[in-house]
Amino acid sequence: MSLSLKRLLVKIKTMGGGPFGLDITFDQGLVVIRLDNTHGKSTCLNSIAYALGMEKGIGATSRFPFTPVMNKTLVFEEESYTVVSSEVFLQISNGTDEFSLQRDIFDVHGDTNIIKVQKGSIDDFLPELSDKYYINKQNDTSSERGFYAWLCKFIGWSLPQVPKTDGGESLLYPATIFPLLFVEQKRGWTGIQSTLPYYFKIKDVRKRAIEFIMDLGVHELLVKKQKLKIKHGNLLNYWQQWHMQLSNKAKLVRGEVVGLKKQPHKEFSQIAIEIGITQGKRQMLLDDLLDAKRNSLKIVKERRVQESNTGFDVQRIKALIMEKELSQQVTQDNLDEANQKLQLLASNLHSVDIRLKSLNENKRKYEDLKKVNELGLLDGLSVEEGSCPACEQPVADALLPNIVEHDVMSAEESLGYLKNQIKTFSFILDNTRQEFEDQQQFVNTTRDDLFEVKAEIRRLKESITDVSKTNLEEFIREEVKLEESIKLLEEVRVFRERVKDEVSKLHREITITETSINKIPKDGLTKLDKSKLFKLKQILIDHEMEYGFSSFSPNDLNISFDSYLPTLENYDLGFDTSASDGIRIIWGYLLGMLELSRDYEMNHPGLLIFDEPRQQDADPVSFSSLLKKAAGTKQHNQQVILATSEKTTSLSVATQGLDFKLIDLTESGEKIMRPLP
Amino acid sequence: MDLKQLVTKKSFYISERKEFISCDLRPTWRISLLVLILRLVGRGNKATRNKVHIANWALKNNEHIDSYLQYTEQKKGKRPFINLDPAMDKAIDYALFSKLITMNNNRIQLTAEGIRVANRLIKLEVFEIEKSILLQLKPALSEEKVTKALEGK
Repeated sequence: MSLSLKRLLVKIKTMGGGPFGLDITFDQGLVVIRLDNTHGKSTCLNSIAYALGMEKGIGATSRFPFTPVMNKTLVFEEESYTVVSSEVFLQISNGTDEFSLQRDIFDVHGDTNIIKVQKGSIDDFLPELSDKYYINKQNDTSSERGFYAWLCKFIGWSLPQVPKTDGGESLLYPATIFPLLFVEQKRGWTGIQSTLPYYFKIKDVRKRAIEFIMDLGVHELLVKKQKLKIKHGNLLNYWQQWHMQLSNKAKLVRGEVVGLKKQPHKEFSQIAIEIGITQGKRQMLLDDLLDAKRNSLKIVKERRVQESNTGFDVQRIKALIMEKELSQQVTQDNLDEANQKLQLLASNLHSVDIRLKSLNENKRKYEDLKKVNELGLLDGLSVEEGSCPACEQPVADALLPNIVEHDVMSAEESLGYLKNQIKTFSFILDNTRQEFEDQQQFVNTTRDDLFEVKAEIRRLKESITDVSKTNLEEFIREEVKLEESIKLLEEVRVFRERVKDEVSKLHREITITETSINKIPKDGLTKLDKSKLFKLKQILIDHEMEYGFSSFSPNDLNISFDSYLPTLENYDLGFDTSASDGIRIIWGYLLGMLELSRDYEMNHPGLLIFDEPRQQDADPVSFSSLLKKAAGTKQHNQQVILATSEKTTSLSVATQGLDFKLIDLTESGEKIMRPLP
Repeated sequence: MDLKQLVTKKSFYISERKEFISCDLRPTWRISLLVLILRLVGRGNKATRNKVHIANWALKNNEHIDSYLQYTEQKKGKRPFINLDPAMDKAIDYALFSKLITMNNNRIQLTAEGIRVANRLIKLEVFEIEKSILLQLKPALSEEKVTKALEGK
């Protein structure tokens, strides 16, 4: 697990001059690059990140991560040259092998998404013989031709799979780890991992990166938990499918599922799963109805045998017709009433739907507004500050102030309000939809009933006039009808038994999965993890003492078991410290990790790069202790590269007696890009 | 339950709640929309007040878009019922005094600052629906068609 830099070479071709560039050789241990401000210090360090394909890890997204010297004009001895192309070479070592990387920075013909790799030193580098690896494309971290995959293999990293915010999984991109190894000048010193890219949509990416670098065991638990959760989700899905299939079957016999819900429920019992069927006004269970039907069938059969000997009875038929006509009337009334209710529900459903759509639309707009506000696009406009741009009078945050009677909510409050409303109305919508569907089914069955009664009346009337008819026909018809419905009921019963079996199996599995999920501890830290974090805390305190940390006593510092970041009394160190102490914390934390990796098995490559660590003018004493601490890396074969604009004289005072390499690049007062030999 | 007793038994107070307003009444939101309209469907970042109003009206719902397109592009159907939103006028005033736009002869034009804001809005992932509708409507929003839709000539 090691990565160190051996040599950096930047080449810039220009029209009429050059080639220009920069050639630096690095040693193990502390390397200080001294250069005045605006002379190309960051260009130098950023090209290291660029050669490693890590520009995303230092906060550069799509924009060009360099000053115009790389792609437009280069000034040397007060003369300007137009840049034709630029490229960077980086020679790296992992302790056993040395490789040279080459990447185009600016070239009309080149592809900046390709990094060429060749074994050996830069002097022996031949583009034709090099292997080409791609970045910034899909699978650049997993595929054989992906540069990051190559780099990780070179360093000795095996990247973990991590959960994403959209539910999927991906490898932990190396660019998310890089902020722990490289502190960029502009944004890097505002906090630990402040140039962390979030757009890979990795869940808790800050923690995942630290877990990886420190090789915390908690990660494996996390993966295990994630897998269990996916399994749990699948099981719930099966459950829902069984539930849906059973209720569809139940609908065939106008019934509904009882004792089984869409989700596994507490009082689940296999025996309780039943199918309730509405018969007239009351509900019967499937088995009871089946018995009742079988009984009726028996009775009808017996009566047919009896009646087969008697003659055709017109009076009986007439009485039957009257009875049926009455029931037709009742059914018709029921149907009308049910239809009315259905319409009412439909209009309800529609209006709730409209309301929900408008709420969602408003939420989308407020989210846009929030982004616009956050980015401060219209900052500085007086409307934004609540006063009229013409007369400077205070105005409400609304375009039609006369409709506003009270204070209006802020955009943030409005979003909260909308989210609540959407929750409520989604709930109402679900309920209304369910009610609507139930009513729809009720209307359908009532209509079927009505048609059946009508058909029966017609048949009975026909049988009065048709002499060929006998009493028997009605009985036989009823018999057939009963037999059919018994068959159907039996079919549903068989299916119900199957569902009972399947669902109780599922229930067992779901319970087992849930308990194993719950068994995984919330903080999930192993004993070794805790001892690593504890040791890191001690190293950090030790460092802060040396650096002259003064916002509060360094002994009160802690490393959170939750965020793995330095805390004070369980609060993350946000703005509680002075600016210069904030920087001391970053020094201590990142160097601390480097030191920790000497005693523990970790994924730290033993490389740390600081751009202008004396940002906020931490006083000279602490700067020299930083240098002292950093110089100690040499005996452990680690590397700290530090770029500073500190004056040569004061630097020599601060580094007195230290074993380190100084690269002083401003003797001539020129910028860093000079003619190459 | 005795209502009077219920009320008097326990001390109670009435607190003023803040009011919710629709997002399109927020100055920032509407000014952003205004600069987007001028940038995306204006000619040379310039448009009449009428065009701005029609674009603003069309963005309110899909039926508006359909009725407008039917009248101007397919030459059938009734002249759409277009209402002018006073909130847009207010937004225009605000933008004018905030120096995002200038007014000349009833023509509204983006200033350099206005163009800068609009360009950033176009790059960002905001106003996605509005942006796509505006681009879609651009051919139908010529000044001539706008006048026709408003005056029925």
